[in-house]
Amino acid sequence: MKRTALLLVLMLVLAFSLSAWVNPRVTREDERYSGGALEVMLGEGRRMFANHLAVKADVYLHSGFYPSIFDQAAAAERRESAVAQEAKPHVHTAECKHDHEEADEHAHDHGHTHDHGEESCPECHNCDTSFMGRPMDWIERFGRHFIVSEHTHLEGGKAREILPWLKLAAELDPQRVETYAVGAYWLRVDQKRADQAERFLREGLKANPQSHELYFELGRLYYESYKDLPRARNLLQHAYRLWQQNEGDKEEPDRQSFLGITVRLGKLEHESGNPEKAIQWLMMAKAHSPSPDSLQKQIDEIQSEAAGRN
Amino acid sequence: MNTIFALAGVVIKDLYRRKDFYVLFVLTALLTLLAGSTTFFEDKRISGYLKELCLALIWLATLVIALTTAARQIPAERESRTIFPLLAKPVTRWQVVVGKFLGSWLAVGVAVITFYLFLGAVTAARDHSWPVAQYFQAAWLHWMMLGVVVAMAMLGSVLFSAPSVNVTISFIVVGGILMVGQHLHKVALRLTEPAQTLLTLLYFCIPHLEWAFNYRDLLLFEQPLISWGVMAGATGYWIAYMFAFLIAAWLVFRRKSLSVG
Repeated sequence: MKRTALLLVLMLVLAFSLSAWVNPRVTREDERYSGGALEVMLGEGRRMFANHLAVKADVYLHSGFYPSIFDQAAAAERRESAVAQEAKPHVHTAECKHDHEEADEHAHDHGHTHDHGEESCPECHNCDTSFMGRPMDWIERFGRHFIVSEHTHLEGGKAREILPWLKLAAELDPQRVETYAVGAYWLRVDQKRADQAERFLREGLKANPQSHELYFELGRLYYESYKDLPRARNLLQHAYRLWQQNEGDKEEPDRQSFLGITVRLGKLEHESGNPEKAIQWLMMAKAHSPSPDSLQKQIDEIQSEAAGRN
Repeated sequence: MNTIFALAGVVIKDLYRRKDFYVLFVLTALLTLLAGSTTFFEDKRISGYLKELCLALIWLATLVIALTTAARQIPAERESRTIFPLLAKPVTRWQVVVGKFLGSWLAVGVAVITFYLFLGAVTAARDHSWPVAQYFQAAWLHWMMLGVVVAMAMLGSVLFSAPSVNVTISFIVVGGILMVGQHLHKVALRLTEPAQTLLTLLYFCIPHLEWAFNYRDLLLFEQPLISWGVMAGATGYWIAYMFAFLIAAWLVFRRKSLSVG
C-alpha cells in the first residue's frame, strides 16, 4: 500500500516536472500567436481549416459555382493531356473576351486569383465554358439540375456573405496575409465600410507587422477611401520598403504587389502635383510591368501636362 | 392497408414518446441561435453562414433521427418478443416491414417539416424574406431522400446483428454517397481494370441521395426553382429505391428466425 502511494507521488512529481519543463518552451513557440480558444483546441491543424474557410468565401463569391476537388483533378488532367497531345492553344472566343493581363489585374482587384492555365482557362470568369465539361451519363446530367450551374457573382452588396468566412479564416490562421487583404478589399469597395476594413487590416498587421501586402492595402484605403494623401504616401512608401526587404532578393518576387505599390504611388504623386516623383514611380513600375506601353502612355501624359504648365 | 397504417401509427407515437427528436431539435436551435447572436464586422444583415450552419445541423439531426428510428423497429419487437403476438394477429411479414417503414418515414417527415419551419423563421428574421416554394422543394427532396435512408436501415435491421451496427454502417454508407457519390464515375475512369468496372457499377447501383443534399446550395445562393418535372423525376427515382430496399428487407425477413438468444 505504502509502495503504491509512493509510486503515485513519484508519478505526480514526474508529471509536474515534465509540464514545468515543456510549458515554457511551448509558450515561447506560441508567443507570436494571439492565443485564442480555437488555437488552443486545434493547434497547428487550424491552418488547414483556415484554408478551407478561405475557399468557402470564394465559393460564396461565385454563388456556389465552384469546382470540387474531383472537378479540379479532372480539369488538371484535361490540361495535361492537351499539352501532351500538343493541342492547339486556347483560342479566345467572343464570349471569352479578355486577355490574361487584364484578368490578372481583375483578379488582384477582386482580391482573389484563379488558376489560369497556359492552354485553357477552365475556372476563369469570362471564359465561362465551365469546369464541368459534358455530363458523362444520365445520372450526372440529371444531377446538374440540383447544383448551381450558372456562374454569377454576389452583387448588390451581397458580397458581405463572404466576410464571416474570412473573419473565421483570419482567426484560425492569423499569418495568412491574403485573408486580411481580401476581406479589407470587399469591406472597402463593396460594402463601403472603410472603418471596418481598416480595423481588419490593423488586426492583420498586428499578426504580420512586416507584410508589404497589408501596408499596401492600408495605403490604398487611405488613398482611395479616406483621400488622405500624406498618410497614404507614408503607408505606400513603407509598403515599398517592406517589399524590397521581403521580396528584393527573391528570384521570382511578388511582381503584382510591386506594380500595385509603385503605380499607386505614381498616381498619388501626380495628384499631389509632383510630376517628377510620379514619373519616377511609374518608370519603376514600367520596368516590372507585363504591359509597359500603357504605363509609358501615362508617363507621356504626365510629362506633357508638366511641360504645358511650365 | 389498415393494418399497415395501424403499425405506422404506433411508430409515430413512439417517436413522440422518445426524446431523440426533442434533444436534437433543441440542440440545433441552440447552436443556430448562438451563431445568430454573433455579428461579423458589425453587420447584422449577414445570413449566409447562419443558413449554412442551420442546414448542416438539420441534415445531421434528420439523418440521426431517420437511422435510429428505422434501425430499432424490428429488432426492438424481436427483443421484447412482441413480434410474436403481432404476427399472430394475423399480420404478414410484408405488412410489418411496410408498416414500420411508413411509420418511420412519416415520423421523419414531421421532424423535417419542424426543422425547415425553424430554418425559415431564422432566415426570415435576418433576410426579411421567405421563399416558400424553395423551402418546399428543399424539404420535399430531403424527405424523399430520407425515405431511401429509412428503407435502407430497414433492410439493415434484418441483416445486421444489432441496431448499433446497422446505424453505424448505414451512416457511413449514406455519408459516403452524399460526399462522393456523384464523383464515383469520374474517379473510376482514372483507375485500372477491374477497379474501374467495379466502381462504375457501384456508381450506377447506389441511390443518388446527393441530389437532395446539393439542393442546399440552390437554397443558400438564392437560385431559381428547379422544374417540377425534375422534382417528380427525383421523387420517382427514390421511390423505386425505397421499394427495392423494402422488397429486399421482406425477402430476408420472410425467412428469418424470430427467436432471440
